[in-house]
Amino acid sequence: MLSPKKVKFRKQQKGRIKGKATRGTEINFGEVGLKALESGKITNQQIEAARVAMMRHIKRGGKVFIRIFPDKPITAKPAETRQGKGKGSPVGWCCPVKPGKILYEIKGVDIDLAKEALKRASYKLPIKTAIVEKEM
Amino acid sequence: MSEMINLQVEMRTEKGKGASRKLRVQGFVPAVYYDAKGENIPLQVRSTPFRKAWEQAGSTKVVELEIANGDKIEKRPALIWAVDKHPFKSILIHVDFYGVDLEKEITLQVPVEVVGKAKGVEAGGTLEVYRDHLEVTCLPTHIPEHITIDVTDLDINQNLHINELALPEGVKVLFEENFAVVGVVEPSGSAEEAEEEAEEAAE
Repeated sequence: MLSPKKVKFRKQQKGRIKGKATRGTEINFGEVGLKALESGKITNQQIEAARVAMMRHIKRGGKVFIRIFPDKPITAKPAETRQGKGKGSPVGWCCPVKPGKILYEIKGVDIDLAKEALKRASYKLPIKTAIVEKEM
Repeated sequence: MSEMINLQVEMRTEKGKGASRKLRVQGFVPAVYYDAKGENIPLQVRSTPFRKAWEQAGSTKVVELEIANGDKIEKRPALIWAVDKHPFKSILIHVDFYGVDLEKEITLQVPVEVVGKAKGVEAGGTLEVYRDHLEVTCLPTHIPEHITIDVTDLDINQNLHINELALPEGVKVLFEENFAVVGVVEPSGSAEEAEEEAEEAAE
């Protein structure tokens, strides 16, 4: 699963996701891609699950590009713990996504196969997405 | 040369974020016309006719702009140079028109179109397109819609270089280094698989 090799600080504040994506909104590497239509935090497990769903459908050939990287730590407190006593410990990683961001791209496979693979990937993600084709 | 596509546009008097937003609500797209001489004209264009013209012309066909300024209509040939789109809605934010001199050569990026099934792909290789756009120089009326590359004879580990391309008449490609445009590469992992098979056979 994707995670940073090294970070300066182990825990981060949650923050809020505002606005639209201004970068990474066009298909740059593949022929067809998956675009976020709403904001949300995508965990590294969800990114991996979507990638596996795509790869299993494509079977062989082609190339999948993951355009997001989970570099924000998620923390959680243990079960049955009272509030207070500091912030919980890191349990995973996520990637805050703004609407308009291209999440995945596929190239080198039949366009219908790629679209079906992206559709299956979208079921693994917590946000609304759309399949977009590269414009010349 | 085929007939030029006509597009009716209007001069835009009000500028800025607020005025542009109001225009978009009314079904217009804010636009600008500029050319190599340094002239700049703020324009507004109806969204639907622009989309139709853009579909036909793309960024490689010259469009004849009919700029309405009061009672006068001025015609100027231009290319659709840049189109800003909303990141996720199907709304056009802004359009740039680049005025061209029909007698003067212009340099621009033209998309590459690959046709045919390469020999190497049939043999199990993967077709790699290294450049999806090429920089060409030609008269504005001779700009090709795309540069077609036939890859039928391309075998595994073979590349088509820029100097080997068949270009339309009157079109020159600019390059300093003779780079590869498309090629067929061996399938990834084929060498490892072959080694594994050899090991299994030895056992």
